Amino acid sequence: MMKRTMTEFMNHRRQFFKENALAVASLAWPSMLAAEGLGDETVSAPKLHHQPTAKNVIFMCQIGAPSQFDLFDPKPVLNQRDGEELPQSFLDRVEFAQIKEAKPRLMGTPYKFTQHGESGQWVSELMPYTAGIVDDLAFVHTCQAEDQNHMFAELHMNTGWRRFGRPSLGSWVLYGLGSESKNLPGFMVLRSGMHPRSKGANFGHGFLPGTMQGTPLQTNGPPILNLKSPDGFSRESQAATVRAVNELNRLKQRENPDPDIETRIANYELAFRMQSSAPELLDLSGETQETLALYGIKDPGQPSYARNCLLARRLVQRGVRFVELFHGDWDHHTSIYQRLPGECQTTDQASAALVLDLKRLGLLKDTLVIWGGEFGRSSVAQKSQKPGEPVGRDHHVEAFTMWFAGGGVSQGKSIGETDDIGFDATTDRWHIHDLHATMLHALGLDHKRLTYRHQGRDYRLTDVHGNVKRELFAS
Amino acid sequence: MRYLLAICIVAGVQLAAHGQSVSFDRDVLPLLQAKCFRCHNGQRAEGGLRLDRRDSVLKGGDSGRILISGNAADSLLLERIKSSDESLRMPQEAAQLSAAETGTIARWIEQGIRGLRDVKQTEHWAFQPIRTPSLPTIKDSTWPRNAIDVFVLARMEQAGLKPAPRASRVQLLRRLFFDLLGVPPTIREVEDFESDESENAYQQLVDRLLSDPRFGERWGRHWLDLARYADSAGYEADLPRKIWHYRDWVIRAFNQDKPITDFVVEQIGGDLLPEVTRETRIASGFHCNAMLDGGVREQAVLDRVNSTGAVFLGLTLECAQCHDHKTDPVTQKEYYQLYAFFHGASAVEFDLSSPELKSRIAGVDEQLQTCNQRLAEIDAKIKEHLNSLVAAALQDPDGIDAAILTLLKIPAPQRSEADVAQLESYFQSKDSQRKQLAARRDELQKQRPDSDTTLVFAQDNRPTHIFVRGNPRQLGEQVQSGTPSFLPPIQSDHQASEASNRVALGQWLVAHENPLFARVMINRIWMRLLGNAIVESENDFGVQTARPIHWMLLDHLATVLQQEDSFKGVIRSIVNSAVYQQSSHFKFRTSDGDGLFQGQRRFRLEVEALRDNALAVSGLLENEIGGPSVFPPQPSGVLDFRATPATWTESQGADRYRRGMYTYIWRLTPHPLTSIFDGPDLTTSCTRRTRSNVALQSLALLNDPIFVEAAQALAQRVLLVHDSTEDRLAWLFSTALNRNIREDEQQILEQLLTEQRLIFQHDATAASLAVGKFALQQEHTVSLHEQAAWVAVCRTMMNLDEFIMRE
Repeated sequence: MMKRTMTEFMNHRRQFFKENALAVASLAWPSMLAAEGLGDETVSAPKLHHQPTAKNVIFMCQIGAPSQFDLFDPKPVLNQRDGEELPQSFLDRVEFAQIKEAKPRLMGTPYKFTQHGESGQWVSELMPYTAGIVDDLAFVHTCQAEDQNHMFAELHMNTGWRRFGRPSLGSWVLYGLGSESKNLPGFMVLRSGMHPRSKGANFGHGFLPGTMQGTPLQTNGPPILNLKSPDGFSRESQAATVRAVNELNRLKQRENPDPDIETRIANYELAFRMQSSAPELLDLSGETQETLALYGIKDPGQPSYARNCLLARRLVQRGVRFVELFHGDWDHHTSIYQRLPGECQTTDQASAALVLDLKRLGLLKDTLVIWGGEFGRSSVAQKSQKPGEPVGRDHHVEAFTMWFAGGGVSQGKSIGETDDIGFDATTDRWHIHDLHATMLHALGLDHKRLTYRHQGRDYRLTDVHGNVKRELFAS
Repeated sequence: MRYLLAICIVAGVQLAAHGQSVSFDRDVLPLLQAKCFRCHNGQRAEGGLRLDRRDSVLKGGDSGRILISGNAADSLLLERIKSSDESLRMPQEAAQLSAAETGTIARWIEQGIRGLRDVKQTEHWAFQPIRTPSLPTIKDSTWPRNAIDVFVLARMEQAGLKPAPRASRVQLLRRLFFDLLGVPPTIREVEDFESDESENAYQQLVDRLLSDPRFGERWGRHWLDLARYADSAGYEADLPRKIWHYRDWVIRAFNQDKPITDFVVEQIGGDLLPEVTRETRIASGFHCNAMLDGGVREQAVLDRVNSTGAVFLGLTLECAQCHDHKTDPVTQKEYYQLYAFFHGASAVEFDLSSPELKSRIAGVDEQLQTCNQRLAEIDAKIKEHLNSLVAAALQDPDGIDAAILTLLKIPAPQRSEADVAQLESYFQSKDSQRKQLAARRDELQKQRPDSDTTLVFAQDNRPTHIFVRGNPRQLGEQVQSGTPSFLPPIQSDHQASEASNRVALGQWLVAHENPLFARVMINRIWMRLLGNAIVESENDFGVQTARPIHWMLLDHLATVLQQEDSFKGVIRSIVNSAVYQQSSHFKFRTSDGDGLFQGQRRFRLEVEALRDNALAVSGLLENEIGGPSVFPPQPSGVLDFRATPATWTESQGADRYRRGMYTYIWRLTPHPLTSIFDGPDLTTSCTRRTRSNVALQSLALLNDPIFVEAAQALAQRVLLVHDSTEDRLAWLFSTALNRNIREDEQQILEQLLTEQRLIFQHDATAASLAVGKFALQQEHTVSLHEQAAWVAVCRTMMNLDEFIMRE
């Protein structure tokens, strides 16, 4: 795959920003590095297309697709009609991923929904902690995906394209805004439970420069390895070594302008800074018992979704632009009522804690928090092929729920309505492309103007689609 | 708009002017297949338009007619391809057509849409027989070194491009060493090659490297990616398994240059061959590498089918697991016909113990048997005399546990079976002779050596049914083994005997009539040597995959592969070509030349080669081939939080420095360097590794213990071979980068030395730690802090971009 040289890339960026005279420079760019004598190149402020409402994004990507009907989108009619056949009009249009019976039957929810907060938003009993923060959230009940297949749906949600090879959300955001953190990668990835089916492609850089790739933390053992200099090497000694490496690499790069060398030079600078910044990032001993309890973290040494949520807050605190948490598995084709409560217990408290924690630290206003899966689940029951195994729900792409918080998002709002059985949106359809356009909008970027030229064509995150959904925002 | 179109048409005419008139089959159909059929086909006719049927193309779709024969400018098709309105521009789900491609379509319309016809999925280019293309004509006849170059150059000349100049002699040497052996050349090898003035010095070097046993390790490791080789079974439990003999078989096969056809047939059905040998049985371990959890056996069989598709056919068969393939002509039934070949095969342990090991095991077993016999005798005696033993015990009840005492007091006729068992076990525990014997038995069991086994296929026939919607618990129609009908047929009597079934499948895969096998295999070999593949989607040659620009080159190479039937043969052809020997310098590449193999590629060494390179340069690399996997250092915590525990007893001595391919692979929790440096995905066949470039990799190269040890050992070496700083630095560059040091480079390293000396001078403890276990002997004149400073220099060398890149 052809990549442009860094110089070409920088020129392109300059050109791109020159053409967008609406530049708004509002973000601070701390330069903590001068003291180390490393990374002394000046970083210019990002030029935005319009006034942003958010600086950072945390996307809590719930792999496998949580059931909107059992969590956030109550359907009294569906409950009443539980057991009835799915009407033919729906059956004609639907292509199930797994259900094979000719006449699948509607299935209500066994869980109790109640209204919460001043906004009176409906949340089921499975998500008591999320219920506690509804006044901070905007629910969108009419999100729409396209692929029934997890692998491609994940890619669609995370790269805007239903196949491999495109840059991911975080890469596009780094391309548009640059990184605010000089001491950590600008796009970091935390995983728990089942890993995404499309693996690293969900946070790859595609045709964008390599420095914009998501950096995944280890899921076993310490989240980042090799942070300690070898025995006997002081920080001073290590700094001199890294400096020599990069001086020699720079000579090499002058001789052969391969963009990979440029990326590697940046990586060594970053790696050295991470040696002091990352241990501090990963050291949770400074977090109070109260904070650990807020997230429900029992053993901070043990990898968990809750620990990842706390780490996400710490990353954003340290200027990381885009944090993505992947958590699975919500793919409850069978035994949904046996498995869903456990998955909620694992995640509900920590997801809500992250919003609360960001809020009390004053970070929520600048951080767009997104929660949701790659699609939703069906309003009909999926029978198991195994005798005696309880039912589940199949995939559903036409309408499902995601929630948003912070970063200018309207608080306590509910957007979009679905029909009586939650099959289709009746208002405000939010296609994945719309979600992406809206996310970029919050960051001050116009999805139609954030383009990258590759193989003779200008590419966008939203391809040729996407509408900004302004109703998500407070003003 | 009209004006623009006119320019395009002119451009198109010019671009196509090289050839004759536009042919539908040759020029237009590949574009339709790549760009249009995805949305405009029989199943999904977007905008009411099908482009795979002649009448539908002529009639048009919801927007009306799309073609006016002879009038490209007024044809809607062209307008939509060229539209500046993104919501209208076609294709919507593929990359925009290039000017040349647009020109082709325009010209075809201008020329009267000749050749338009109905198109079937099976007409896809990759499903057509492999042709032996004749050599194209070229202008510059001095450049080509063999036929490969003629094909490559013809396309470059067509695009008005020039190949990159030949790389320097030393760069070629270094490239060959990394590509063929996975380790760098030594100073001596560089000198020998540079002083070899014979005309065919390069070819001789190639031949020498191809017969070096490290070739088998290097290319064997590539194959192990496809075989999804690991030392544990995967899934949550991830239990250890023994299959390293298969790994060693792969190395031997590459070194012996086993014919490619045998290589495949033995791996698919080596256990069933009429002339089955120990070696062919070991080879059948290929598919025993699938992840296995006894509870979901069928998942392993499904993986075997899918891997067969990806590895040997370049087909995404898994898409036909639940329903007919959406784009390729593979039905769900055909999928389960392939499944039937593997359904009747299970992975079993094949005992390879040496006579010596067998007799040791037998010796221990004999002692164990004696022990057990005597234990049984004692137990029988206790059973026989239980009543008198009870009576004797009751005579002297002091110190007897209360619970036992209660038992003892139960009158014999009223004792339950459980009571009897408990009493017997009580008296057994009181028998001192028995205690000794039991201890001896436990000791023997500990001593008993493990048999030397490896997983191989064994046939246990069972009927195969279609899994309805891919669900193994929902059985549909029963099917017999068979192959997809769009491909040439398998030999008709393959079902005659179960024993010949899988062998026939292997032979079918490698048959010359199979259009996919040779193309898929050679494409991957090319990808390893040139950095980019000819068909980029190297694991999918299905209908969605556009005919590559270089299809003639692909077919030429596929023909060579079939004719030579030799990995070494085709690798030799490629590395002897001029296209392989081009410089990888970035300045010789233009964006137009990207898909045309203008210039070689620079790419980072794979994780195993990275480690081997560092160890080789430091002199630590242990060159022993094969054997059980080893446990080099890894950070603590990696094996925590597993569902089942895993051990990692760090290897000492030589095993610490074996080649990376021998590191034990816990499939669920592999060595962390593997995940940091894009090692293979171990859950299924990995047909291609990604090449990321992130800061975590810099951290690993700087601080991971294995790279630190290598730097310490290298420092020790350099201090022993030379005395002056200048000579030492020159030697380091020759050893690590195979080239002379430049003045500016020397200055940087001298300054580093000065800085490090100052740092370590005042801290003897730090210096000692920095040198580690590689301190020079006391009588040596180099001080500890001097040595520590050189460790810093060596670490610097081993972190250079040039050190970790194959150029």
